[in-house]
Amino acid sequence: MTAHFDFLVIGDDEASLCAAACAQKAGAKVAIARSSKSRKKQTAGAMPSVPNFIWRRLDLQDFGLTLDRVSARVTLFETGDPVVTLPGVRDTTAALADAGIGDYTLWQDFVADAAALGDSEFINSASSGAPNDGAASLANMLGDRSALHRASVLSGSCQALLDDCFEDNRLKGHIAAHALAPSGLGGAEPGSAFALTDYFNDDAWRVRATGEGRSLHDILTEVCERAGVTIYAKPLERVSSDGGKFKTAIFDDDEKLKTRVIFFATPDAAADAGAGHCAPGASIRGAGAATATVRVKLSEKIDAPAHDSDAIFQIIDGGDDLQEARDAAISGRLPERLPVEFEIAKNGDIIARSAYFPAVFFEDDEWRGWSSQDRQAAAMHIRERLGSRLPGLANIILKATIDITGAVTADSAFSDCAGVIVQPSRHNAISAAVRLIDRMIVGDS
Amino acid sequence: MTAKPAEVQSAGRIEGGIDAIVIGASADGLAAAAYLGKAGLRTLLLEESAEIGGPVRARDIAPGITGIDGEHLLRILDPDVINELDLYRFGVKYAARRLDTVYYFDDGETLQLDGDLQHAADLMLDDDTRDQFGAFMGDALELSAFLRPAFAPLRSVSDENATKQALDKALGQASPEISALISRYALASIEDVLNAKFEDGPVKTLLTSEAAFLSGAAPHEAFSFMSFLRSLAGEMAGLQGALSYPEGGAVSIINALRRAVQAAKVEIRAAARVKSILIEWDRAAGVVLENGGQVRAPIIVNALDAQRAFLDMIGPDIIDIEFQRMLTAPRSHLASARVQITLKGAATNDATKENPGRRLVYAPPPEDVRRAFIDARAGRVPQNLIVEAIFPGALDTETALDGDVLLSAVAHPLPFDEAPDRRRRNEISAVILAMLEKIAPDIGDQVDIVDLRLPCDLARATGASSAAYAAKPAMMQQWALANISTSASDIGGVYFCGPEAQIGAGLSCTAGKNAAKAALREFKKRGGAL
Repeated sequence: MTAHFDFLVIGDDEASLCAAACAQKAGAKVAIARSSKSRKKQTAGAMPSVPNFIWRRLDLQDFGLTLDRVSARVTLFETGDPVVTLPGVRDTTAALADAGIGDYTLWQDFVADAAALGDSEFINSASSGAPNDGAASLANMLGDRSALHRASVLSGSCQALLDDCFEDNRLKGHIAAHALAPSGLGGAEPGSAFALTDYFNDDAWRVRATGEGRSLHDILTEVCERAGVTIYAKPLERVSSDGGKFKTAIFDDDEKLKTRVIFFATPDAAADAGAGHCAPGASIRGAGAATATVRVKLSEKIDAPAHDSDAIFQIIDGGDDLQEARDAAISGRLPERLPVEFEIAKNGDIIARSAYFPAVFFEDDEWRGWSSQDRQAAAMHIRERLGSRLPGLANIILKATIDITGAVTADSAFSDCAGVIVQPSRHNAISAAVRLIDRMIVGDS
Repeated sequence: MTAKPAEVQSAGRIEGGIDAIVIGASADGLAAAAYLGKAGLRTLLLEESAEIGGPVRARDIAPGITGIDGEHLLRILDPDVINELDLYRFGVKYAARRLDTVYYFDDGETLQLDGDLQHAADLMLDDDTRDQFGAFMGDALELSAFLRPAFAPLRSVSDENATKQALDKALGQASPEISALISRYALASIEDVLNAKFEDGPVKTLLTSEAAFLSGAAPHEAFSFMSFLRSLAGEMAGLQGALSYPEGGAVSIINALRRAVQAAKVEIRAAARVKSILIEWDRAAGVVLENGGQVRAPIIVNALDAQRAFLDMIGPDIIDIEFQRMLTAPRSHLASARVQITLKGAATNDATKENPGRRLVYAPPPEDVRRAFIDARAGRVPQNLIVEAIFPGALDTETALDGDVLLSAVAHPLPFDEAPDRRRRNEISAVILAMLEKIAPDIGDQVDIVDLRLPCDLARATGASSAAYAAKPAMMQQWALANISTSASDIGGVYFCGPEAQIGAGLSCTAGKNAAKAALREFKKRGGAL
């Protein structure tokens, strides 16, 4: 007999595992599908923070889990000193003052205002695509002047919001780069203000494993198994729907399962599974772009910029880079000045990524997919950008590997997106995924 | 009624005994004045230029050839205004109630659809595509009809609870299906929605162009699909989502409104420029004219653009800071262009000869539309534009399509320029002509006069700030701006129905109607004596 589930969570990242475990523990019947590709054994980079309520619900303290906060957010411009912001508001104000940024006095108010702006029930719920009372929530928003104002700011551009708050272009560039780089959005794009406010959310500050004990991924896999989540470690072939309550997922060995909802905890997981087009907030998370992650192995430790090896670094030349890169990517071209985010992993590797690559290339009046030359060119591009901020890097590179997600592939297992839920790109991906699946369980009963 | 010169009547004097003043004789101003006059209020309509109609005006394009500025087709004209002001009696007549559209594609293919997109009875589509198309348009039309109350200016009274209740009543009855559609489409981009529904092909291409046309939100950007729903929410001649052509063009609506205004015994005073609105005890008390005269009245309906209506005429001291910011912030950076072209001799090529009474649309490939928005927003003139063209002479039963022919076209998207120079204007004209070649090959050989109208030209004609005629931004910003401007910053007695009060592009009059109705409600509540 075919197994029946409430949720099929597709994906193998921390957010997917957390969502699956929490839903199962809350009484839902959950399956996870993860591709058979074995996860590479390598030091992980920074990941979204795991908020307290999830620690408690999954009893993570029993597993000896320890996490560190990323120490700082740093932007390395083409010229001039790095701009640094820190987890604490006071520390940041002091750091900005030291760096000679005139707007430092505005920081505290800005952080509070940005977090408050993000509190738009209508946009938050509509962007996830979870079933909700769209009409009532729209009426509420339209009838409440301040809610409407918030929604209008959120639907506007990051740049407009920052121009309203700050004078200093370096500070504006810094904030935009850290807020938008993960989703690959442009600063002038409508909706990019949403990503900006999301970034000032409590759970948006990233964490990383201390390197001692087991990885969060390992622990979460065990939590899922203990909770009774069924794990399918094989590729999905096809998803079909007969119009009833259940969808049928068919694996490549013809095993089938039936599920009410297919749940993607992150847009990357959806893109990997070929369901990128099912994301309702696709444009908010930067649809049409691919993300390249390059891992660089070095022969010796490199000196971290700003003397801080635990920070997240952004490379941009100027404030307009993000929009220009975004425009290029969605037009099917490689950007000229590629925004790159990087960090230095515990083992000394450099992990660099950029979400400003085209999902498909447009060349000679035709669209075409990624070729192996494109992959090499992308890796080269990222290495060059790293080299521009890390002097001497080229001489100590042992090996660089590249991984592309979000590239458009010809076939998709998802011809029909009914019943497919995709959590849009969020800085607090783990807590957002758990909150979303929670809301769907409540909605069911 | 002939308008009397203002100086004779009011220079240096104080006039009283008037119930309501409407500032600006645009379509909305005229509609508001007609409603007020019809309800028995002594109403004065002040227009600073010598002509009425705002941006919609007849103008000689060439000797003997009259063109009409502003809109060339009607899509969202408020049916209530037509009925309640008896506009049919005052001369509105449709030459075409629902225009057929012929779409021209990049590869030279064409597709003809009758105006009823839901029942696309075209033979060129295979059955599956036609069914998909029909189902999609069915959903879109149903949803946009449901959302109609949300596309009216939101707050015509400063009572927030009343607005809330009205919206709850209008939208609260949603079926779960409609609610799910709202959740799904509210934030979506045009591309997201269409990619999820259609394979590449003519249907996706034409829908991309229809949805992105006249919108300030690019098809790949969040919130852009809503503008499409707004454009479908209209009801022309009883047909939802139809595009109509009134006999005599859009200016005939202005003429009918003027007759309605006159029948309502409203005094129209032209060449009367208002300098400021008198505010006494936080309420409107009248207006001060440029010539020093004062006209006192407890109701002021302002149909000018919001910058003039609030910043210039009321002044920044009593206007909410947030509102001031919205008024001065750049809006969409995008604009449409209107071009009227006279052709030497009758149309000779087959494509146009066969379709003179239809709406002709060049729909570029979706990726070109996307790139055009990117270019226009960055301030460059795109290489590809969506172009909508009609032959007004062929649509009007009164004029035949022979001799010199007038072609009227609207092109989108273009960069919004405050003051474009001659080179820029030539560049824009050249691209539009190149696009028209896709519709009518070799039309270039026949072109005689090219008359280009950009937002700055409309602004110059009406005295408005050109931002008022930029493309409408994403829906959420339109909602916020309409909400705050129609609540008139909470100054009693002031009602606003300028371009910022309108949701969506096109000639609508809903803002004028709502402003007048709100004013009348308050007038009655106060026992007819404010």
